Amino acid sequence: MRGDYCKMRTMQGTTMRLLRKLELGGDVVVEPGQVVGPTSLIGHNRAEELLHYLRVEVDEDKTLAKLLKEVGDEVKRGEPVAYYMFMFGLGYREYVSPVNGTLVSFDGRNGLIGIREHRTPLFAGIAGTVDEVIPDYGAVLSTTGTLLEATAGWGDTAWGELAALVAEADAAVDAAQIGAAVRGKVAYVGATADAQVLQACYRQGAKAVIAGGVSALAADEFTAFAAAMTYEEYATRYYSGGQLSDSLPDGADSVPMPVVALEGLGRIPVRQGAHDLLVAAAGQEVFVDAGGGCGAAGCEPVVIVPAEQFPPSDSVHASNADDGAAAGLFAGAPVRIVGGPLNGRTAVVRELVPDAVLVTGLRAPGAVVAAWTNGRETLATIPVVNLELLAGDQR
Amino acid sequence: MDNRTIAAIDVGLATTQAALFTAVGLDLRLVGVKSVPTPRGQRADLAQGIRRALLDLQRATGVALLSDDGERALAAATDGVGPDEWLLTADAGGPIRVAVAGVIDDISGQSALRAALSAGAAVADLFAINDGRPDHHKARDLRNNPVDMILIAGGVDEGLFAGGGGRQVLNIAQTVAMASPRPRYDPRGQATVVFAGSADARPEVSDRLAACTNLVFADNVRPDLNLENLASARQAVVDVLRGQVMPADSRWQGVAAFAGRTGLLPTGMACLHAAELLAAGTKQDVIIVDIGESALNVYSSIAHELNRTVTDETGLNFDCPGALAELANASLTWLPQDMTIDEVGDVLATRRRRPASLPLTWSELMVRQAADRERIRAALDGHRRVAALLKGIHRQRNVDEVLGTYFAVGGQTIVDLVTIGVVLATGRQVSTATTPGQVLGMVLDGVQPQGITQILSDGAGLLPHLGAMATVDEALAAQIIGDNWFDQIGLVVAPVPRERGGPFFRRQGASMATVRIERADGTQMRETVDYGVLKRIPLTPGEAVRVTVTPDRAHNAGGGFGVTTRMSGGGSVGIILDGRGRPVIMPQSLARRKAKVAEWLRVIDAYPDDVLAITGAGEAM
Repeated sequence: MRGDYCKMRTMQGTTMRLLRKLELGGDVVVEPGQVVGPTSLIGHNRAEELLHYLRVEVDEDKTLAKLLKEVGDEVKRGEPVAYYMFMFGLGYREYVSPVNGTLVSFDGRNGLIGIREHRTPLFAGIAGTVDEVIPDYGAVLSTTGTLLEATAGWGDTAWGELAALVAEADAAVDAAQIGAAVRGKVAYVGATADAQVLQACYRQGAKAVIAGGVSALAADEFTAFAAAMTYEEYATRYYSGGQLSDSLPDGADSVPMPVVALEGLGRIPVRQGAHDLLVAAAGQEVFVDAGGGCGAAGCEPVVIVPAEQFPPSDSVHASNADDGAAAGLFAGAPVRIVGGPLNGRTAVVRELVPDAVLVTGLRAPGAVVAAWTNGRETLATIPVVNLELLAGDQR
Repeated sequence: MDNRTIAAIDVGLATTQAALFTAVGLDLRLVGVKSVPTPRGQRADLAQGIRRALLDLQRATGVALLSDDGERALAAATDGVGPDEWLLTADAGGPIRVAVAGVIDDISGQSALRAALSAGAAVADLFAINDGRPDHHKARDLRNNPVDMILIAGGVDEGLFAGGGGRQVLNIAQTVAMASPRPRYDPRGQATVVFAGSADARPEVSDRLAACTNLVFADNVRPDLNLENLASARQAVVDVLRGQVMPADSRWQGVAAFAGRTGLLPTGMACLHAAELLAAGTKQDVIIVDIGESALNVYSSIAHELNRTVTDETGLNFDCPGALAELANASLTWLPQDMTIDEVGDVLATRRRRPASLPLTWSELMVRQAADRERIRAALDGHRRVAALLKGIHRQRNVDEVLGTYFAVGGQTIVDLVTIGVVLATGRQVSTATTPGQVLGMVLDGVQPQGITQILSDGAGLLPHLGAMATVDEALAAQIIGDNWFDQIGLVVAPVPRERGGPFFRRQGASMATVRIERADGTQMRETVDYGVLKRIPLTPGEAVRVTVTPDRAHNAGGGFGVTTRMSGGGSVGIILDGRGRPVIMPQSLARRKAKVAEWLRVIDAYPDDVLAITGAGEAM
């Protein structure tokens, strides 16, 4: 029987290659063979292209607006740069900077204010070695550690010390329990991350959130909320005294917090092998890649624990040998169920059924699987396309 | 009479399908069809999916399709055994993912968009001088949302470019150069750029882009503001797919070996061919909705003009925060059971993440099909915008316009549902529907056909094969239309009111039109289409009837207000008399709305009564 949809792997002690990509064309400052740490600078984009123009009121070659900044001044996103008062003060118009940057030019005749956006630095995010430099694009890093493939992700990349907030794979953390302990860290919150948990982690300055299941709508809503939040708004709203300084990369004008769902959408216990690894890795630096929304380019969300303390397992090699090819399901194979009452549960294939009939009357190749729910074994017939073969160290 | 065997393969985003046909003259028969999940991801081997589908088909039919080692396609001409003809179509999430660019988004941008879509591409972004983004944000978006190819249009071939306005296309070229774009799966390579803009601009575009991209020139899509010429750009997109994208992309290694003499054809292009054939065969304007798991294609052939649009969740709206919530919220409208928006959102997001997965419960099936109603509605809105008259045309205002009695500046849609005679539903969501009523429900509530419309269903997913077949034997493909290969599922009669004086002003149950139904045995029956009421008149399987609709003066059944209209047709669900208004008017009260939706679903026999009787979603369903 064939037809597994995809494989979710937990790979220990493996060497991974990771592409770190500049947002725009620019300079890559590392060299092949160079050893890098999470905060090592990989490169940054060129500055000359990042120009924004504000057009202010002019009348017969004379600027009517009053400038609040001068050429060479730093400006923040949303900060007033000029204003125009008219109708004897009854009318007032304000011109604000669209970005964090520097005011670089002012053309009084045409009323154009030029603001150059700050360059965006690209950091390694993970300890490793530079394998390859791709000029004008980025660098490929190699690192050894543990890879956890996830089901869904929101946001981009983050790295930081892992804080495990749960002790059991099916436990979930209450939003009220999330405190300052997650500040600047990657929070592992257990079986579910709902809207309250995401907001609480964000408010406390977590760098990323890892959960078994995530509410899709809550994550979407949160991503939009975080994308619109400037650094200054965030600091004003949640902090005072610049306590954020160690939790964000320099040059950032927004406050991202990637969210990764290891198992699926909704409340789903974390697969035991992955849970054990995350608990054991608490306190270590981890790298989270939520996929960056580029699923079309094959980017899947992953969590990487770049450490060699976890020994390689035999099943890892079996998984690697089969990489990219569709593996067959077999009796005894560990799988995850997609959809239905057992959505996201880990199960074991008991028997393959060439022509399973679903409750809706649909017929498809399937498998009888055994899943553990509430301490007892549940047998269910699931179409093969609703099973994800779990490769690597699964229990 | 020659006897031929034709193997047709379609590589879709979620499933790879292989079908085997035998043809004796123009008599074509389907021998078998098999589907397997398409391998996904950056390291996926699409040829492996094809081999698996062929192997399954070989086992099921007993016809030798693959060599002994299972690696190579057998062809009668060279191996002595195997099919005489191989046809290959592919879509796999858009084998060509294209960003399009134009000087003005509504003029050259739209023309570039139409060229890319009609070539079967998925469009990831449309950028233009007037799209409101600074240049470097466009460049950043281009870099963060990698594509296989960029199609640039803008400027006319004479006059404007030299005059300065058309020179804006050089800014677009500069923005593309700034992004230094890379192919989707190869950051070390150079992306392909097809320039289909002003011919005069070519040298300067070349100066900007030749060093950092693979630059290909095609004829200008708007050589004149009054003229749109998509053929050359469309062919360039397909050529680039075959010649550059596929060889450079490891996922496509070995796939070309399964293409016959026609080479690989993008599925979207093949389906557009099929739409043309269907329109010619039925002598009606046709709309085809291809309801995939994460992409929804709409094809139309209206007054001999072909258009395609795709609402691609791996394209323009992929991971757009808010889109899922909006879809989930809208889907609730069509659900008879109690569910929270979060539950609906999780079901839909799961399907988006794992598009090949099947609904495991009635509740999941209903949520997916409710969402498909809204996806169809949104996709049709998008199609209306693309299937439109050209914008930017310079024209002399005539007396009528000056007096304000006639107004035409271009950009008006050519999609008028009253004139559409046939709607065909295809795609995996149609294949996984378990009753014809479910397919009919999706079309009825999603498209909301007007006048008299024959609804067809392509449950076996033969449409891409049919389109590909047309490229080798148009007569044979046309014969399929004549042989009714598509399932007739219903004939919908839906008189449309004038814009004012719609159902709000009529009493529930008041008659809108009278309908006379003439059966093949000569018997007749009379019915009425009533406000707010959905009725079904069952037919025997395969029965065709003649329907004569006489609307009152306030309604149009296709021929005009108050004009009697006739059409023949039928379907497994029967004749549907739809008086619910356009758009369908829903009760404001939640409880009444759910009851109404359940009633409508019962009428079209979409789900078993015991399923609809259960209130409250969850595992019980």
